[in-house]
Amino acid sequence: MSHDAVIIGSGAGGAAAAYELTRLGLSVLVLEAGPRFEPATDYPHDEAGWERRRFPRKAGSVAEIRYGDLGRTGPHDPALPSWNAVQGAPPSPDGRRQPGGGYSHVRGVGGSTLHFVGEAHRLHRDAFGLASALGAGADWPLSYEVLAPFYLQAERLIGVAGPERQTGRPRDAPFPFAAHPLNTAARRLADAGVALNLPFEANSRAVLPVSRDGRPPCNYCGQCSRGCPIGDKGSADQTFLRHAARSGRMTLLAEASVLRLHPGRDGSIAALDYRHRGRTHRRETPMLILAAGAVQTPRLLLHSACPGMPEGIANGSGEVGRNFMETLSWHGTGLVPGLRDSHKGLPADAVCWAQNGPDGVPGAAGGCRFTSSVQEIGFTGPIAYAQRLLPGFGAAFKDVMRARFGSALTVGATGAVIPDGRSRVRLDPDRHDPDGVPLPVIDSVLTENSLTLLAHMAGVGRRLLSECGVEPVAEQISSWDRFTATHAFGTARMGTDPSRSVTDARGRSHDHPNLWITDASVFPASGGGEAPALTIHALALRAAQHIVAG
Amino acid sequence: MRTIGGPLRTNDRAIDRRGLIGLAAAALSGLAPLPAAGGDRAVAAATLDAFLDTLLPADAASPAAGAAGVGPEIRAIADGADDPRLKRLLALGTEWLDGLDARPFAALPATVRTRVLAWMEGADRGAVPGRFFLVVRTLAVEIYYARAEAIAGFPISVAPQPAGYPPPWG
Repeated sequence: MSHDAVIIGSGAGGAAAAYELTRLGLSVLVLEAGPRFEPATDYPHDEAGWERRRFPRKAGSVAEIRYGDLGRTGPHDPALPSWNAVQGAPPSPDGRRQPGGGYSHVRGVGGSTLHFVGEAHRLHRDAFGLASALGAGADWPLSYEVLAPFYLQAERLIGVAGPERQTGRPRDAPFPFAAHPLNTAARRLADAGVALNLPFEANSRAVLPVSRDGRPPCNYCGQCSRGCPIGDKGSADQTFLRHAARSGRMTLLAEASVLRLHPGRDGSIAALDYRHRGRTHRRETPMLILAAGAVQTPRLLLHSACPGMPEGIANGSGEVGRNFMETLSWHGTGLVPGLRDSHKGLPADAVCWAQNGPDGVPGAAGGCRFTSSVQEIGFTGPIAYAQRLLPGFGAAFKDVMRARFGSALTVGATGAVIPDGRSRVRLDPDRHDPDGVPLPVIDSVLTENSLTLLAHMAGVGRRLLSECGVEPVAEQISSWDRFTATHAFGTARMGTDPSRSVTDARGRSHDHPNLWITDASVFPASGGGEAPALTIHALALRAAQHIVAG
Repeated sequence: MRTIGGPLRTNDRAIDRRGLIGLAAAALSGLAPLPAAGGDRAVAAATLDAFLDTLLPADAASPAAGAAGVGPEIRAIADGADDPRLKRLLALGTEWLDGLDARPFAALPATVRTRVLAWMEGADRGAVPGRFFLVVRTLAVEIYYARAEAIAGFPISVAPQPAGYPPPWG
């Protein structure tokens, strides 16, 4: 069976592309390397012991990643290293570590949206012109206004709930739903923010407050990152892919790993090889959309090098794999006397955008944002309190656990990353996966800008915690010594100059007329800490419309 | 270079011990080289159970760690761990506990056992007693507080679903 388009990856970008192409009448084949997940059985959260279960792993659902240069940890601000009140500080290495898996991702039908918290963020309007404004990083080759209609389209399809107005993000129409209520920790943080001139507002969330489109409303279990068993979270499998499947024009193969792309004589990508159920298949690609994410997309492009393209597919600029941008983050947690029920409600329910613009932080480029993150970071059950926040033992310890459970409050801060020549995704020269494809290697080094931002985020975070009444700070997790990227960007960036970018402003490869990239690898700039999923959706919807328009 | 990701597993609803094993492995980081085994030392189960019951004793609302089955699960984790240091640490730690007095640790009065744990809690984590305390505590609280009977009196449901936590809150 032939299809009008082949899409590699079914995460945020692949799913949105599949949805829009099928909506506009095209047939698509989606090749997803990972497995399917069944929410009701794979992440039920309905039994004792739920806290010991993370987002489930299935065969093929986590890619093998190698880590190269993650940078050195030098002289530092005492507020920067990671530690907690129970474990203390780990032995100080010379370099950053990647505990808990490093690049946090899910390979599966729905991609990393399956385990995302579901923040639905537009980029700050001014983030599109970072380089022009501050001489740092790169500009987007399009404006907020160009992307706005596609943001709105995605918000409506998903059912995003958000406030009437959002700092730095002008709107032509309201969110489909009003914002979710703030939980106890978020309300305390919002009060503290007023005192420090750091106003918090309700976060925009891809989570339904009411039934819609066959999906129920959220019941505020607080476990978004463990997977949503009831379907209120707007992950790609529950939204874009459901609609694409209903069209009858989508074929989705799970556990289908693309091995290599084959260029044709006319400069297009003629075909690809993929492995499915133990056999290798070749499929022609009249139109090819690559949406495998900022690590796997460059990996495939580089691996598909051939005699006529020794630097890889779509790599006339030499930028494939380069400009890798990780997630710059700082989280501080403590217990607040008298606070209760902080484990209840919607994770990441409140956000402060006051410093999110490109010039939002003095002395650093790109900006940052602050979030109420107590559930997002895992303080929703007693195990986390016992392992991280509350030392001690015996009867007294058990009494304290009982008395203080539910009183944790976390300030999460996420900031911009400026691309650096040392940060990239490359191919391992020695190690391969079982299909013979070289493993990807991530190099990611913190620049002076990142360190300045991080110190600022930590300082503001601690002031917020103090204003909230935290006594004392019991945990700190920081990118300074931990590489734990949940968001990764930049490794096939878009731009107007083919010598310095991989795709044009629509996401189409400069080098191959039928190759489009619709994932976060096309981001020329990370933004000031925004979650990227909504921007990926918008870019993919726009790219799909351009594909159909020819 | 370091590798993350590896053996691929079939999903089921069983507890994922990889996280706990990973935590234990991380807690072993920086531990001074353990004394030579001099033959395989066994983990003294009764000693470990007494340690656990001192760590997490029974109270009016909830059972002790022993009654909650924590000891056998820790020993099973140690038996199944790729890193042999975990089992050796348990063996050396229980041997150390039993060597404090002519009586085995489990036979000591509760007040004495409590003082021992208090000392271990503040001891050098680069050596066996301090590291044993840290590692066993890390494992024990995860296993214990995953039990429904352990969270009696907590403002939390046994599981977040199917009821969730609809507002109002606080």
